Amino acid sequence: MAQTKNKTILVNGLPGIYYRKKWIIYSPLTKNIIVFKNINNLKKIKEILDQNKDQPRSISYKADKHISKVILITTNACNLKCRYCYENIGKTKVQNMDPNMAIKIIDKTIKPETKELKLIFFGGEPTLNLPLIKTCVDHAKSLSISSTFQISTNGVVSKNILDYLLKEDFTIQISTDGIPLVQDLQRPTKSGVKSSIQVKKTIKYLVGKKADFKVRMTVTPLGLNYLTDCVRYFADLGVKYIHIESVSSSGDYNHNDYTILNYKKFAQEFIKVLQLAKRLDLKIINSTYMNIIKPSTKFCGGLCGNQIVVNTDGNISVCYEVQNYCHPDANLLMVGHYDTSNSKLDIKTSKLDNILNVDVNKMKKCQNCFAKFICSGGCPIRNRNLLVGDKSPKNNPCDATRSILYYLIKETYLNSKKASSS
Amino acid sequence: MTTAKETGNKDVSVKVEIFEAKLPEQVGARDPRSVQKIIKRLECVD
Repeated sequence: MAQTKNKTILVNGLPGIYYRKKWIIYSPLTKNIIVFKNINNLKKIKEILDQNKDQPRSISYKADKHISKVILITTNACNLKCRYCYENIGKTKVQNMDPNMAIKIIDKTIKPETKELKLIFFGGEPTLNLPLIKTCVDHAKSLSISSTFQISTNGVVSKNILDYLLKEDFTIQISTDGIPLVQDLQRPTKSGVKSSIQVKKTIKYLVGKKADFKVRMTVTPLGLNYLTDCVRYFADLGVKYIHIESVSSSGDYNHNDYTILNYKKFAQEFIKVLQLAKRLDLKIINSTYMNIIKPSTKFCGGLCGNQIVVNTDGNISVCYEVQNYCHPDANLLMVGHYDTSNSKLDIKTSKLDNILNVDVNKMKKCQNCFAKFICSGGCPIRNRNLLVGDKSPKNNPCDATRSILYYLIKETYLNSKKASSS
Repeated sequence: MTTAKETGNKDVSVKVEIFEAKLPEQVGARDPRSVQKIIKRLECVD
């Protein structure tokens, strides 16, 4: 059990906060909020929790071996030129993925125990290589296991493409940043034209079709000034799910005015968004609390070793941000390649072992943090940014994570208390 | 687990309340479809 200065506690792997003279412990495994009053000796909390056999003693990760998750970078071409894009540097030429290679790799990821294939299409703008998507979808449907499809598109796509994605029951993610002022400045087309009009059309079309989709917003210093306006804009268009993430700055890789964020301000604005979302009937998704329902020692699927990202050239990484060896984290996250000469998928075990070692239980700075198993140590790429640039508290994403999680546990407590008394 | 006594100080009682956790409705999962379909991937270790 550990206590930090900011009135938080980590006990038996569970996060707790001090609020209105009570210690409030959130237990996602038993789906309980446990409230302790009149406690001066914090060890007593652990003692009482230990007496209850339903409560966990610690948390570990167990991978699901029945799912094969393959992320295909269909192309590195894009019809937008986003100011903060992590893919631009190091890109030497436009390259589309070879459909034959994609199918062979998919087949090699399916083991006798695999029951479900998850195919995720990413880019560049993945729809610019629609023939590959269609080939892979047809192939997946011909297999004897179930398959699901997801795509992350920038929304500058035709209705025909959207109709195809809807027909094949894709879960669609539209990457877009909000009000036209922000969208057009940050995400202009490759030729420098505004993209907001086309993206708005796409969203309205999907809303009209009652499609299963979410919007994925990247928050830059500019976007942060308009965060609530952007959320309200999407709500007005009929969006129900918004995934909001702070911009990813990979050190000096794409360090510019669009990528250096004040995280303290981000947390403050994000909490305002959560309050607004309640009134607008929106779901807000953020990596800070993605594990709030299912705590984990691993930040994401990539660090669990149960997903691969196939790049256009056959290089294999575990993160969709790492698409070539110019990326500063390629050394850690690039794990192998597909050899076309002998059709062999060569994934280095030693590389995978290094990735499996990226676990919050092994991160010294996280051991006493109440957010330990919810934030799960955070994204290694973003953590790398802590090593470069301004190290002042406003640039510390950990403080932002803790503020957001404190707020959520407090709200969960108030919500739970209200529900129990009604 | 409704109340427990402080072992070290018999005069002070510790009140413990348990509620079913209700996350704020605006908190979404990674994938809209997974809200209803959480894959159990946890194990408790004693």
